Amino acid sequence: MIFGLSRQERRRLRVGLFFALPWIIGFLSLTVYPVIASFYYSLNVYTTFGQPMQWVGFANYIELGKDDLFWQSLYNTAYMVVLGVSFHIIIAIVLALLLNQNLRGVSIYRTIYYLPTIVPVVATSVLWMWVFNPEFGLINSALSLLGMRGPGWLTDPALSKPSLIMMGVWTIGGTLIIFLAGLQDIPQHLYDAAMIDGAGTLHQVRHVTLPMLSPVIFFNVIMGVIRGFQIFAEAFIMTQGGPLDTTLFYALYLYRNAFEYFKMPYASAMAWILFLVVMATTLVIFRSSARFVYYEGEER
Amino acid sequence: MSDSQNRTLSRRGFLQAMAVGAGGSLLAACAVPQPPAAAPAGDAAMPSEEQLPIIYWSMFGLQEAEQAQNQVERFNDETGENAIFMSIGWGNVTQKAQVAIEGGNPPDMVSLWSQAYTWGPRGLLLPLEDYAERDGFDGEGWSKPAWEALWSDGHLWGTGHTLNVFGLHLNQMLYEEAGFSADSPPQTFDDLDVMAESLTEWDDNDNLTRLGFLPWLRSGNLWHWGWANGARFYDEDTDTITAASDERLLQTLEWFVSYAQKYDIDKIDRYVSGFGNRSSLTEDPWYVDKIVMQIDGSWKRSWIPRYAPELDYTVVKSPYGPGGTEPTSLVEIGAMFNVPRGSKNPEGGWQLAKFMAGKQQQIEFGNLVGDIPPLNEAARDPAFLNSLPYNELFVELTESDGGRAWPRIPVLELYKNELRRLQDEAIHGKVDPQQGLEEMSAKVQKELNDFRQQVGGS
Repeated sequence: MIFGLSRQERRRLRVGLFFALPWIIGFLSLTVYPVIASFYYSLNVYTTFGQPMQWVGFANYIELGKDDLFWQSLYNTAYMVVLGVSFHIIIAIVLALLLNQNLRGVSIYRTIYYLPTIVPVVATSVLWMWVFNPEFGLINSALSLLGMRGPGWLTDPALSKPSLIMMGVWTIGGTLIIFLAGLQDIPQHLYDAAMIDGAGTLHQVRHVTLPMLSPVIFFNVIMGVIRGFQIFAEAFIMTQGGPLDTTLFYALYLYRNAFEYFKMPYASAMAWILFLVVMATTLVIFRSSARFVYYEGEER
Repeated sequence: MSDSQNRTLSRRGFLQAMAVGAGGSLLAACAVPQPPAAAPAGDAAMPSEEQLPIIYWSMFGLQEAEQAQNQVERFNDETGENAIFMSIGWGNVTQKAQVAIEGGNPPDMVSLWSQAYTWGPRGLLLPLEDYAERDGFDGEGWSKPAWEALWSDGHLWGTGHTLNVFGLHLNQMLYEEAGFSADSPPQTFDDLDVMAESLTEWDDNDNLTRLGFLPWLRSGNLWHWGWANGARFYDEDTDTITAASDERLLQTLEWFVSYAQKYDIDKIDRYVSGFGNRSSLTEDPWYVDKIVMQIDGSWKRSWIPRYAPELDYTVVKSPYGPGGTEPTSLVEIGAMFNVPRGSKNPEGGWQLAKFMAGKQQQIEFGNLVGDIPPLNEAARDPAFLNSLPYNELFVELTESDGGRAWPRIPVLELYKNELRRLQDEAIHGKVDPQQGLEEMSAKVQKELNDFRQQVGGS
């Protein structure tokens, strides 16, 4: 017995590892190595291609602390994560509740709500640039029919981020489907019992649906937070970080440093800070999840 | 059933077969991908088997790509080389080329814009001055700013076949309706201010319905108008960013702010936000009478027949400010042909780059896109000069002392972004112009110093 494994178990382990080898090699070379290398790069400066790096310790991190745009981009991203994710989760739950009704042709509605999700983000962004166009756009044209003059959605510093959050609703189909699956997993007898106890629709939602759905909400919040911290394409295509840097998101600023200013170690330091921020945020959400996530069958 | 049909594959045999298959796949995946060879143009031009292809990654798309492809085929016909044209697209070419160079598998020639000033000193491009000297490519016959634009830090980074040059574009019908004559265009900032006032219109609710002129629309920016006001952005002798110390730039920025205050920046933002992407060739408020005068590039004339065929327009040299003495324009290489470091066929890359900068190629491309050939001989050739209206005017600008080149420094992209940010913040009242110029200059100077120090220390 070696490592407490019998000969047959060791053989199975070898075969299992062999079949997993392509993934393991890919993971080590394409994920683990770049991650470790990026940390090493973040402790250096790298100016000229083909020349050795110069070790600077944590100078890039200290420099970031003094960089106004770093803080601005972090704020913009946090704004999108906090408000954007909350808004999208609420909208997705409401839509999932509506699409969970026994209506004729409900599967068609579900398909319609899901369809925008499969549109590539570039196409979505270009489409929404037209929707948001203050002169000819769909929204302002509709407002003008009501006698209102719509704002410059993407050009007004106060509205640029909320506009992108609003646009994000268009692509909540994936989240919505997960909620729908969660809703259909809630046993009917809980609603029956609640009804017998005199609970109305709102009470049923409050005391049955949301608690039973809480693990799914938790999952979608985590995924939304991770996605939110990486927001890039919309700003890159639609606003280029403007107006007045209000949509200069973290990933966009990182991209500029890496690919426009060639400050790869500085960008690597930014990537590591983002990694730590996402980790910390996820950890906080996980730690606090015991307060609001209910797993069926667990004692409370 | 025969024995062979009965025989089952042992586990060992299966695993061995899998290992061989996986190993083979891995080796295949590691092989350097080779693009398919272009069909030879003729027996005489057929390259030898040992001949390396010349891989050309281009920023051009649509009809520009078609013409570039034709030119590459002509190059192959004339030289017997095997150059292969690949249209990567302007949105992708810089990033893909950068990654390919760093990954050690770059093309042999790539077309870029002003990135060469950033890429070259960082070792991503091959200095070409030795090739140029050997082949007698010495800038003879090139307009001065065009030739200078190919160099930075003492190295020749590429060749080019067109120049972007800028002028004031007037909607002639609206201009004349307001009582002005196209024969008397604005000459100075003061003229612009007066005319802008007359040409700008408001509705009953005090909302803009037409802008006579705004300094920061389309290709108008602090660079353009700073030069027009005699300002200098960089001192090559002292390697210093001079934005904060040049009074004329502060004066120009304050002139921008005066427009923001005069017309109310909120109202301007509302009005211009409907104009779409400022670099779009198809969407332009100037086409549809929303703006009367704006700075735009020489390429615009080639698009007008397609997107605004009825437009009655005039192009004039840019007015200049109190600090300036003559009309100025940025003269930048429209597409620079660079040879990436690590190219497997640098000689081929250089030969193709040199060919693309030839007279015929310059004229053809100039005619197609409306930009100006850098070779005086090509720019003055009737085949180009008569192809589009106002070619003479743009050619004069490239030949005059008013041609301006980008500061050829390794932090140019940062300088451009920071100056744009400053411009936005100043017109929105977020920063005092003087303070903004000082902070912006200090930031760019620090990056420049850091770069010089790191390169010196590496």
